[in-house]
Amino acid sequence: MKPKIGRALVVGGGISGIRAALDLAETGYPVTLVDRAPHLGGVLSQLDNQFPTNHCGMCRMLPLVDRDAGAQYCLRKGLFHENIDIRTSTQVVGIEGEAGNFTVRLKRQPGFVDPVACIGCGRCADACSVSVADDFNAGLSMRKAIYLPVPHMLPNTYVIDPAACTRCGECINVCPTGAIRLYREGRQDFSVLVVDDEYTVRDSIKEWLEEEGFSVETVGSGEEALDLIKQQSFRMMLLDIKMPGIDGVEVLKKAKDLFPDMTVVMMTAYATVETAVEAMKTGAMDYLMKPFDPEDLAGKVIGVYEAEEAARAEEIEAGAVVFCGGSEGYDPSTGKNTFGYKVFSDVVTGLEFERLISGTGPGGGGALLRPSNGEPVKKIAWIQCVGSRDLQTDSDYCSGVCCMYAIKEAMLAKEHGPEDLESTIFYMDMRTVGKAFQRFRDAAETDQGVRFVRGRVHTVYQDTHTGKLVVSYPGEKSRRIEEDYDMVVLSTGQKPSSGTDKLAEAAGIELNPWGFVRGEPFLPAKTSREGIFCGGSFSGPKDIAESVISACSASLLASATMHSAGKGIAVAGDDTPEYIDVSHQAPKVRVILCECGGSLPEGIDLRRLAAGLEADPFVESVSFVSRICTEEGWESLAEKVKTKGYNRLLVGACTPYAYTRRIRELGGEVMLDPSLMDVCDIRSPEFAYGEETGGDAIEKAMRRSLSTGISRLRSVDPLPKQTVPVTRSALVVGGGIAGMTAALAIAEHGYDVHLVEASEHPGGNLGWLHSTVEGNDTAILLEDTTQRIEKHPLVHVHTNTTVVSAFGEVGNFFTTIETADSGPQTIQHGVVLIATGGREAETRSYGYGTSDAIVTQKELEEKVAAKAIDYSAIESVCMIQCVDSREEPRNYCSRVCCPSTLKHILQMKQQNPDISVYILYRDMMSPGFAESWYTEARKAGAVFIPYTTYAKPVVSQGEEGGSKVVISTREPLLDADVQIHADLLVLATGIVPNLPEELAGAFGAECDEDGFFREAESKWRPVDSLKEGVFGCGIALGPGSIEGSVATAGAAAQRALRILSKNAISPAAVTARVRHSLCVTCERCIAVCPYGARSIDPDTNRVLVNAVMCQGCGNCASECPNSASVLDGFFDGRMLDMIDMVME
Amino acid sequence: MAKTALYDIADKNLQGALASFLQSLLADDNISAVMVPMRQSGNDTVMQTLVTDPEQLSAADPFSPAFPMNAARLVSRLTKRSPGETVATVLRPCEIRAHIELVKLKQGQVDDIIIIGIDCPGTLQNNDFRKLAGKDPESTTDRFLTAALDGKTQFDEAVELPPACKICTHPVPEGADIGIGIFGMDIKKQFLLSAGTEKGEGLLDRLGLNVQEPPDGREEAVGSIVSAREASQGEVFAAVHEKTDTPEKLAEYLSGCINCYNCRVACPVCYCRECVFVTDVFDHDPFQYLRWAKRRGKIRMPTDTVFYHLTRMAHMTTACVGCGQCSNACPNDIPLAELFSMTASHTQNAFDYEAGRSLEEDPPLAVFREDEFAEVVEIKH
Amino acid sequence: MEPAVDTQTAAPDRSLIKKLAPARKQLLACIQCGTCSGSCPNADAMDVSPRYLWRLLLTDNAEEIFKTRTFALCSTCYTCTLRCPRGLQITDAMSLLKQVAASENLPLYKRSIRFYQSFMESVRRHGRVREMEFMTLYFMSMKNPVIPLKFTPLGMRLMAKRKVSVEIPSKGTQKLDAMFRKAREIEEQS
Repeated sequence: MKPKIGRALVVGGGISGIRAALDLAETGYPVTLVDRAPHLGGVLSQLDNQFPTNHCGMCRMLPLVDRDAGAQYCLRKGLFHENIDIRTSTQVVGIEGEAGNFTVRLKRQPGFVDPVACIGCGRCADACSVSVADDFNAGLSMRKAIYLPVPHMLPNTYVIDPAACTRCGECINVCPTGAIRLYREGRQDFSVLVVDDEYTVRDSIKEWLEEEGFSVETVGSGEEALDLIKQQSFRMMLLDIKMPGIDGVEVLKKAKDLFPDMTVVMMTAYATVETAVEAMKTGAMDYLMKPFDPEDLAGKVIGVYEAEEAARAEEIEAGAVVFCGGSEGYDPSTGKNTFGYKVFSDVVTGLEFERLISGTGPGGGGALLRPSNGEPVKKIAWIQCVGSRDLQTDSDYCSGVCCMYAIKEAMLAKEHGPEDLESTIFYMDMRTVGKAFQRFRDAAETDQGVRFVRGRVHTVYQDTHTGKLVVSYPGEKSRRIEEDYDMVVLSTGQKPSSGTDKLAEAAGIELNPWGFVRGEPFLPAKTSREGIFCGGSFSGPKDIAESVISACSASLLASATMHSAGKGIAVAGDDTPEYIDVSHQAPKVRVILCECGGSLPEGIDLRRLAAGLEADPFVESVSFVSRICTEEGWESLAEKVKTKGYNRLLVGACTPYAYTRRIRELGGEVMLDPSLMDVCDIRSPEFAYGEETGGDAIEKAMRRSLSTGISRLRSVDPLPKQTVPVTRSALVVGGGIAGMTAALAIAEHGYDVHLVEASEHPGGNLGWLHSTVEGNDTAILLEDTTQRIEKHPLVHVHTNTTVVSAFGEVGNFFTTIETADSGPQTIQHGVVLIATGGREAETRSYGYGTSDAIVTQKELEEKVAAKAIDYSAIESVCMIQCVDSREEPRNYCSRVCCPSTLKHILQMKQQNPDISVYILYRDMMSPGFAESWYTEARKAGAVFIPYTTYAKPVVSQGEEGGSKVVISTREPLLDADVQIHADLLVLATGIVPNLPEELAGAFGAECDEDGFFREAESKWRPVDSLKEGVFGCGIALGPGSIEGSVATAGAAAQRALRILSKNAISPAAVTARVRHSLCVTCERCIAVCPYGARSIDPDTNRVLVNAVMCQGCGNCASECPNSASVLDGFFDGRMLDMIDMVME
Repeated sequence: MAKTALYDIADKNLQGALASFLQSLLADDNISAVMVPMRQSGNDTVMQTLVTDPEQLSAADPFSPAFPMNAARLVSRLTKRSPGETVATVLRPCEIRAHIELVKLKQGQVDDIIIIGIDCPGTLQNNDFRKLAGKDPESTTDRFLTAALDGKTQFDEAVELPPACKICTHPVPEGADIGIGIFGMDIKKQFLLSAGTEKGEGLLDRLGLNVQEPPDGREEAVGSIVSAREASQGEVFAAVHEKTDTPEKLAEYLSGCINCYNCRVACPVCYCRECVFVTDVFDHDPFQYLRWAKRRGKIRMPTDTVFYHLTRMAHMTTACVGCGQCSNACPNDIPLAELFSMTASHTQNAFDYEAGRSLEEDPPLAVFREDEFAEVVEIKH
Repeated sequence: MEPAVDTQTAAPDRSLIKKLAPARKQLLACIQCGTCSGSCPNADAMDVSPRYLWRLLLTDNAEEIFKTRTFALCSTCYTCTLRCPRGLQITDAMSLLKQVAASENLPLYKRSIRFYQSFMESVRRHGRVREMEFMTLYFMSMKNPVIPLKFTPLGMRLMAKRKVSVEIPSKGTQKLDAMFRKAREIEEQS
């Protein structure tokens, strides 16, 4: 008996929502994913290019293990997973209950287009006469009132913008599948009572409304009305004010007492308008002024009806909720707008720039042209910090993403513009805080010639003669410099998503001072309400990788919540269905075609088509169903499938992605392996892309599509797949906060964890860190975590232990560990998490080691903790940032040093405000809300002086016998030399990793050039290695804060749980294998496999494929010249046959 | 400058001097066997032979114009796994280059062999060799060399160099450990030994030969051969291009093909164990033929011939060394070598690659470089 | 070259630095973005830009500050305050610098100081400005006969447009005298 599995609700279908939903679904939870937009994808559906590759890579997030459960479509086009129920145009209006047992009320916007019936042909949009600005292209182009919200979405279902739609009904007339409804049929159930003493009025209203499809009753007096509403229920009442007997206002009061939910609209003549307005205070929704025309009246009633339909909330049960509501771009047209946004059309936001150069953008071609006159852009500028780090726009925080996207866009501009395009970025600090970001920036400058100018642009105006934009900024000696540009891009920051406050209220969660959701200290994914979690930029500005990590981490917490509420993922029993073995039978394909309710274009003879197909010796029979999309149609199909005589099934219908899963479920009933069933699209290509050449051409195209489907099915190899059993325990290497957090998370889901720590105690860097800049006490975190580790029966801690060797693959690793006293031991485990952390880098720069007054940040931290600093004796302190960092060979930002510096400044200034503190920095890295501590530090009086790598500070000993050190540097704003005589010089040396290359290599993972764990994909799979089953977390991945380590630990644990939650993993239907008799072991396939799924067995000299790691990409098959490497389901013969059919 | 030595020829007997040179190799402690083309009994066939007995080397005839197969296939057999001992192999330039391609494809290695390359004045197709040898088998090689080194390509009214050799611009062995040079030499007196690798230099040292510079005329002689061949290559490629530049013309060019697959068997760089064209993929159902015939009104039998050549072209032109064995093997005299050489020249130029040039260069298509072929790779929106 | 800032030797005049403290406090949160300098309409006339000035202030370079006339040229248009991304009261800081210069009676700012003093003197006497008297007081305080000559063309134009009326300087009502006295007392105490 399976325990009840909790359902998770994920709110928001952007990148973090998709990640959270996929993670939970892959772990085995049913997930409801809602988004208030009519489509998924969030802002990423608008962004074609992401650094560092400058390509999109969302597909990298697709499930790796168990990937047949989700269709392998581009995630920018759509999301399909059998555990995920997607509700678009839906909002959360309330959450009742408690963690583990929530009842969530969802409200769906009226959908006027039936997504199942719509085939995306676009005729409706052609017929629509309304034209409004298109949000998808950031308002740069126009769309119709019925439109595709995202041009490349799948299914590409049209939606109606109810605000723009005039209800003219033209679209309904042209729709070939009757998908557009405008809610007519439901109107019958919407009963309206018309109360008026004038017969002609009430009778004509009845006539008009009945014409619109509503049920209408009429009465001539207030008394009658009150009698009638007691007997019969009405949804709406149209009520005249001035009537003999009881007047309208009286009736309204009594009716509202009896039926508070009934909508009442008053009807009034001019004389009683004031009474009508009064009546609205009593509960009338609105009033109509006589005389009214039928359209107005009907419009009003339809409006009320649609709003009520929409407001009908649905309740679902959820064990845990993950909010991934995202954020919004700052709108620069609000506020003072000194950059002339929306005033000069060549001033655009970063998002608009992305749309302008997109292939699906307003230009269509993607060439970089000036919006004002269509001329090519030759000179373009980016202005940073628009709506970030700006108190004027209510944002005393750094948005964290704009620096990198501006650099990326500047590089893209070079690609899309002319060869000699000049691009300039005006910035205050370039915040290159992520892994490899600094190198990306350097490459933009040195390889691509992007110009970086430090200085904030204050004004953009247009030269009326040349039409060019004039950008003025402070140059040398802060003198104003003016430069002409063809285009200016505003790097707009992230603001809380609109409606965050309402949603937070509905969900009962708290917001932080900046209007984002408040996360718990050290656990940003946890909101103030138990059981409700938060992923992505809903809790503060985040880039893609951070969003993905926080989404994984939130889904882990959601999973843990459901688990502890007794609704955890079930230990899946062996529920693999039994299928009939058809491997010894000749293929017999049964073809069932949907007639689409007779709506097929004229000239198509389905019988002729069927006869043609039946001539194929592999076709068993061809039969028809009227409409599969209706319930009767489906039953008729199920009936036809039940009779025996075939061993392959092909269904010809529209929208195959909508039916494939359902039809394959039928396979279970008739015991036919789902891989022997397929759905073939016989409609949309012809409507959407085919030229209108009449029925003959369409019939031919349909035949082609079906023949291809038949040949595809004919050559399916019906042999069953081998599964790989999973050892359901984990190995965590490294006992710092990341390793401990991950170990606990896995153990709390009921799986054994071996935690290997090289030193005597777990704890890592928390052993010497004491507080964070936010003032949170790390000692409490350390103590709490270590205690939980010690108490948990499933966590096996091995201290003084190292990993000696390891081999194996996802599901089954064998690792030998060696403990100082007790010798070696081999552990079998299904996954491994590498959390080896990092340490403060050593330095020989800036006179370190020559004076006691020169210390590293860690040494300062230790001195502070040991109370070894006499603050009263210190006059002056100097801190140098980026010591040996952000330049080759250690060309990365260590991320923690700037916040540490801010923390130290504030600590010192608190102890003794008279201490002069000088910070020599290159770019202050205080992304996100850390910016506010930067502000605090300045307010406390610290003096920040920038330096460059070309002119680094010079440290010398002070006077003979003196304890001070002298730091000389150039103050660029004064353009003068500065000498600082400091009692203490603190060097921020940054972080180096602790990950030995052999250790990573033992598990098949790799280190990057700086020695950190190389992630499979820096944005989309930030904690996975390319080798499935091996994950990294904490500082092993890259420098980061404690929060960052906890988040990546959660993310890695979540990724690991996907695998541990299964008894066995089955390879997907499409995987590669080797036909050894043909293989000459040239090993080219091994070189081209991007997933490391291939290896050569030195004993047998054979190429081996790990079927679980194989993602069926087909690189090997196309590389192999003689088809020794083949992709199941894509054999040469089958492909040639299909090509042959298409050529027919 | 590579280390070179001159090897004296006694009694104007080139064959004898070569035999004694090879015998001296066998005498070296490190070398267990020599593989060299040898006259077989009857004297009208010359085949690669693996020799361990020095006495047998008297029949060695490395400069014979016979070229029954490209020996790279044999070297691959000898080195696919380490034999544990070293073999000296006497190879033509195109055989060396083919072997280097096979090494890159992990079909052999160079650690256990010493490559003795020879200057190649050209070879004859099998039938032509028999015609030339038939009259006076004993003197075939001498007669051939005398004419060929004189710049002749015609040896009899019916015997001339095949196009592959006429357009081959690699007459001197590159990548050999030791090269035997005859261009620009007086082959009645001396031939040249030049070490191309450290391994070769060590061997020259051990053989105790006098290190001497090559004679002055050699460089010029090689240069004139190469430029003559480059000129004829241009003409041949232009002519082939003209004959094959549409699918219809290409089909006509290949119309003699009977799917015997001899060309791919003869091809040294077609390294597949079994060609995909002889697998069940092309084992069509009988009704399929009829279906095709019905669709077009006719279908040429056997089918898949142009497809076969195009597939082979796609698979091997980046590795094609232009040895001409495909033409040599064709029973219906389809001029395949010209077609494949032309295509190979295009594909290899496109990747700035030359088959067999160096072990350091990765085969094109085995590596993906984003900056390569910007017009193809770079997705301009 | 002598370092412009030397934490050992900087600020010989600690008292001046102390006087600058209120202005400095206004500017502490400055990020040196330069928006003030870029948006200042008078920046071209200033010898150093506002950003430069604030940098001097934050690095305790009091002497250097009072070598520039930048703050004296601030016309209090508030554009910088309006645009400062840190929301700093920059115009107020400019005024504070003007006050320090006035209270120290620094010779470089004699003209400005006299100008403001004359203006206020006229206000004190009459409760409003009498242009003619204001200018007469200014010219007298400057004790430089060339200055009135420079202003003559402007004065003629203003008079022609009846923007300035000819009035004899007088003691006025002195009704605001008590207020002025009290203000001075407060200033002196602080």
